[in-house]
Amino acid sequence: MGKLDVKMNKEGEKLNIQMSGVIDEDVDFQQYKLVGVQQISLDLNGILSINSCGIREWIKWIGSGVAAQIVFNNCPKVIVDQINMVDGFLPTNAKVISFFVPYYNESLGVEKNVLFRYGSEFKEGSLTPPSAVKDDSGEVMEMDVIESKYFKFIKK
Amino acid sequence: MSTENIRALIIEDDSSLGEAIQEALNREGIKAYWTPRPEEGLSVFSANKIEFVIVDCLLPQMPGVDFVMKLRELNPGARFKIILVSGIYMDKAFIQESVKKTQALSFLKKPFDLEQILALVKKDEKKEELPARKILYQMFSKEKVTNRDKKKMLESIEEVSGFDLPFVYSLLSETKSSGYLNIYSQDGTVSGLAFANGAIVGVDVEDKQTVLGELLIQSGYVTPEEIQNALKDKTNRRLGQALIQGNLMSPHALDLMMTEQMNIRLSKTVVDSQVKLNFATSEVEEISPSIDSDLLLNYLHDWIASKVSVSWLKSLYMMWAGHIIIPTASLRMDHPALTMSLVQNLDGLVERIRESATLNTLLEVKDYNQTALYKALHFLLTKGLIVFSSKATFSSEGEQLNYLKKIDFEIKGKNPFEMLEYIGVNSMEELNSDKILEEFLPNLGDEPKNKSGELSKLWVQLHFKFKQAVEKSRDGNDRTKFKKETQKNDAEAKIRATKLVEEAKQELQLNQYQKAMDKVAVAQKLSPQFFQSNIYMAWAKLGLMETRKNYKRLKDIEIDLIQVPPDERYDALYPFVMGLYNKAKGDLVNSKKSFDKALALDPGFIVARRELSKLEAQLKAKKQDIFNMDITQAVAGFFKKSK
Repeated sequence: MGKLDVKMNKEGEKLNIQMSGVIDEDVDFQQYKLVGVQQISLDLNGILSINSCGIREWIKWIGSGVAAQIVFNNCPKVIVDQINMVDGFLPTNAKVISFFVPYYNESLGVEKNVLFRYGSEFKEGSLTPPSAVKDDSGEVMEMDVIESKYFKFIKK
Repeated sequence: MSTENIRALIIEDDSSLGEAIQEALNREGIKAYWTPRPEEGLSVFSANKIEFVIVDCLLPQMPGVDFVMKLRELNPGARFKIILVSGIYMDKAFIQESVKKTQALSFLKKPFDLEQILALVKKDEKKEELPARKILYQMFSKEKVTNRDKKKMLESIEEVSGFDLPFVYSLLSETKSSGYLNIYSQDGTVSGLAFANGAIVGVDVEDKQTVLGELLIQSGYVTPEEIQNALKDKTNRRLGQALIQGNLMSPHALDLMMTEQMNIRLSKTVVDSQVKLNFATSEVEEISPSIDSDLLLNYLHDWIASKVSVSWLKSLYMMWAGHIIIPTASLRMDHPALTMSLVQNLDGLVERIRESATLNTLLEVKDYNQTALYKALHFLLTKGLIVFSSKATFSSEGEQLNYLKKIDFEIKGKNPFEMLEYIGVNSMEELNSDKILEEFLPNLGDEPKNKSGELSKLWVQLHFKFKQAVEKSRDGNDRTKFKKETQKNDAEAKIRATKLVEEAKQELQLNQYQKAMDKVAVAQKLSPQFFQSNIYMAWAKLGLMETRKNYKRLKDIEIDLIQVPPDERYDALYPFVMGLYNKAKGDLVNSKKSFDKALALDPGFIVARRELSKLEAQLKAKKQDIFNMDITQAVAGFFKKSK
């Protein structure tokens, strides 16, 4: 069994794809066809990591869905990093609907991922983070990313 | 970091409070501007590089929140932080809403303590205490480097040079990392390394050219004919598999060669161009072949010697020239790194490091080859065996003066952009001029007390020159023009250098060593990163010293040879020159082996054949000498301790 688990579910003109695991040289995207639908919704919440081979495979694969409107949901940090750094990772016909932002409490060493949703915490060219993110003990956490790098794709 | 370069803008209609905040910030060295009028605030903001805006929420002409929104609208790319203050709006919902809308750092209710504002500004300033690259190279000074430290470190760096990569690889290896390091080049290509508990288990580069065949022949595992036969194999098996299944070599030997091929691929990432990095921790399976920390030591030495240019190292080490070199706990006298050529070439280096040397003092050591010194220190730093003290120290005014004179001499005739390159500014795309000065100027040392002396004058002059260079380099058009000109000049220089080396090659084959050496020297000056020239330089030097052994010359040649990049060593030329080198050292057996390797790779290499014949004759004569000598002499010879 591969290191990437892909579940596909077609609802009329819409294709829902749920992915979890590792995207690397072992992934065979050829079997997951992106043709014949008008909308593709990708849920990337379970992606753990992606390496350089995986990035190349992804670009080829996602580029084959050129005829559809693609949305990326629940993008973890590993995916947001690629969107910001690699041309073609988020093709022009695709849009991020939601992504996770890591927060950190330095004194307790606690990490938390907060979901930013389109229309609520961000939209094209602007960002409105929650006024305060607290950990389980009620302490305020700090955003754990370099804003100018992490939110670059929103400004594109 | 000093607060001198922080600028703040205060928009407050209560003049006593506005002035009080301004004074408090000024006292801390922060340049603060105060105005009660929002419109004036907008102009002050656009004329100055403001990092903090302190705004009263209730202003006569415009609400503070609207002012911030307008500021963002008029300055879309600007990065600044907001502190909201109010004595009227105390409602929790309003505070939450306005903080959210303006993305403010904090909301202070009047009356507040001025210390609160100072604490907010200073808290932010603390995060940027040191330039990211400086922190990267000081990572080994931490007792324990956590995964989070590494991740945050790599995230904080916008771009690094390909020449920084050996350090990054070493850091990930030494700290037993597991995960994927992705490397994004400017041309859009992505390469990657997989780490499993510190060992490199996978190298993925775009250029997948294989040199496995050459490696196997050169190592003596198989002959060219056996490779040819294996390649004719019709069963679609890979070369290695075909050789193993044909009982021509062992799986272990193949692993060794595959590791060597990984080295060559890794070495291709060590280039003089900017890359972006991303490291994601992940569980990665430990597989074979792999490069563990011990093996990486050899490769790091190799890459630093042969790939990283000394001019780049000089720029990097500008930031530490006057800092004391501190040995880390790992620097034991029996550490294998100390047996490597770069370190061995510099007599007493480790002892000097243990006696609080600085780069400046080491550069004064007469017998030290400057290239070897920079590379040896970089190798030790990369392996985590040394770090630098946090503050520059000059033992005397004389030392500081010498250092400043050296800089003054080296920047003579350079244009503003070349001056910035000289101090290590590689990426002009994201030029933060103030930061550059802030990072570099402290390296010139404290301002001399005697204001009329030579040292003081030079100190002031250099400060002025670098500030002026930064000022002039702000022009984007000039920057593009310079970049194009530099690229053109570099390309032309490389073409001329290549032509000269080609001519030198012909001359070497005709034993015209001096002529060839002169040409290679010019080529190296024209294109310092044309590392292939080192092999021809070594050949020429060996040709010239053929008649007598010269220890100093041999050390010099060794430096030329270790600067030949790994991917340039797999044709017949490298083993041929190694043959000449071994012969010059008096090691005739290894010399013969090297010539044999050269001829195995290229049977038509006439000069190698000629040298081999000469050597065989010499070896034969040596054998006959034993039979002709007196019996006591011969017996004594057998038991003589080899030196």
